[in-house]
Amino acid sequence: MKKKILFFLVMVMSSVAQAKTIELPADTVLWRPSDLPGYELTLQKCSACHSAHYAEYQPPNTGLGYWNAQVLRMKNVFKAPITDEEVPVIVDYLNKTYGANRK
Amino acid sequence: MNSENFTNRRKVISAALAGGASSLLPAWALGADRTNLPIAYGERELMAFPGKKPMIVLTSRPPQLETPFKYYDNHVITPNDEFFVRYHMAGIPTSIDPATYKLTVGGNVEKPLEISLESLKKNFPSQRIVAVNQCSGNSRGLFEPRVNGGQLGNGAMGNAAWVGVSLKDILKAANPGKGAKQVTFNGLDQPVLPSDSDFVKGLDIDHAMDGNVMVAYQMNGTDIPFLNGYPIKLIVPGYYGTYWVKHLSEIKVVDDVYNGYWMNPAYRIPDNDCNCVEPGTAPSKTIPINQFTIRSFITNFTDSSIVTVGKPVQARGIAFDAGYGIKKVLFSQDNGQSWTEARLGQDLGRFSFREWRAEFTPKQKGTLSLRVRAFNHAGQIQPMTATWMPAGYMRNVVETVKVTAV
Repeated sequence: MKKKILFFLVMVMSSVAQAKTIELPADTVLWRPSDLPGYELTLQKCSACHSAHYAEYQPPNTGLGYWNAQVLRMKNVFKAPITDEEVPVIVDYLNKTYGANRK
Repeated sequence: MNSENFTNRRKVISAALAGGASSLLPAWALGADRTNLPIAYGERELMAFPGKKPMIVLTSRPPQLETPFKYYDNHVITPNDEFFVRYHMAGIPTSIDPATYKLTVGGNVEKPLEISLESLKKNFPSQRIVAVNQCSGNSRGLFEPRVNGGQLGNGAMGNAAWVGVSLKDILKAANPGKGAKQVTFNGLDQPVLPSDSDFVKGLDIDHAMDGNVMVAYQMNGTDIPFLNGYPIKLIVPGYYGTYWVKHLSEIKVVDDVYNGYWMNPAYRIPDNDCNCVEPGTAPSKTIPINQFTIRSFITNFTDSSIVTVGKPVQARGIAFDAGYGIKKVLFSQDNGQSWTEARLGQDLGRFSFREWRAEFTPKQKGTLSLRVRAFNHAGQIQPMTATWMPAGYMRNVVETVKVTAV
């Protein structure tokens, strides 16, 4: 009986004091490999904050304007460490790999 | 490597799964399955994230999970482990201690508050509302012409019983000062890199005080799932999910219209009667997205369903609106040429999904275009043809399911 009470108390105390914790899976969709210089840059600059799904699923009518607007949004709003010179390099990779040009 | 190799890599993973090379793969990948949304580039993974059944992965980091549509059939309350997930930035909490959790209430108030979870539950009256939460961009992938953004099917919506405290009671306890115009809401999620883009939303003070907006600590009789905003979440009945701030940690009363990134320029809709523009054009003036449009869905048939000519069969599904209340639902088996009124199910409250059922007897062989159209008490009716806006929000066209009659 004492054991049971002790067990019950431990359960109650641990449930009160315990933080809820989750573990999230690793990225499953990866950036599409390419020989374009923007590929390595994308791995370095974009992967820090989000998975490749954001580009992977954009529709077939997606063109240069969208990729340019998004890379600038990441740079200007979310402070992605992308230099002015790197912007067109990343945009070129995205535009030639995803959207209208996705194979 | 080119995209062909990319495809090959995926095949290798599939082969490894089939071959039982399980030790090479993380546990979550073992359950990985695939599905297709009915759009170009619509292949999706199904994966079980913490607290969730296998869901359609829109993005894995941050998690954005869509409910497989078949889950909606035959239950009007969406179970917690089937409820969609939408985060904006990858800086999300992964460990939360309910014993030390605090909600602060500040800004233009006489009495700033710091409320523990225990105090929220003990010192304020509780209320319960059954309400639909729906992502602004639910169904964006179905826009024609296609628009950019999260390419969702119809599964970024869910209906739950929320228990918590009316925001009105919390604000009254803090006593907003003169000149209070809006209330802002912040949660524990944050940008990965320091910037001004933290996810903060604003509501007008009158809306915040309307008694329906609430701080929920329970969803369907239990804790709110971690990925839906544990331990507390803002509930804004009838309004799009963008306002339903997760892991709510900070409420501020402000004297101006809050104009942070996620209110402006993000989450804006055309400022006109239809909240729409000509496809391919941009709106000249915008306002923050707000109330749901009226919608209805058939949940027990898909485009691959087969029915039998002359044999009566039941169609069923759900309808909802911004809280004016569903007045009637019409069902058609002939692409909208003729309609019959469906029977409405139990009324769980004006912000809830409303079930509907309709019997029909397939008249002729071939493709039957089943359609369903909802009407509400404010005179709102689902349009027969889709409207368009560049952001891909608020889709509510009368849906069509094409079954085959044999």
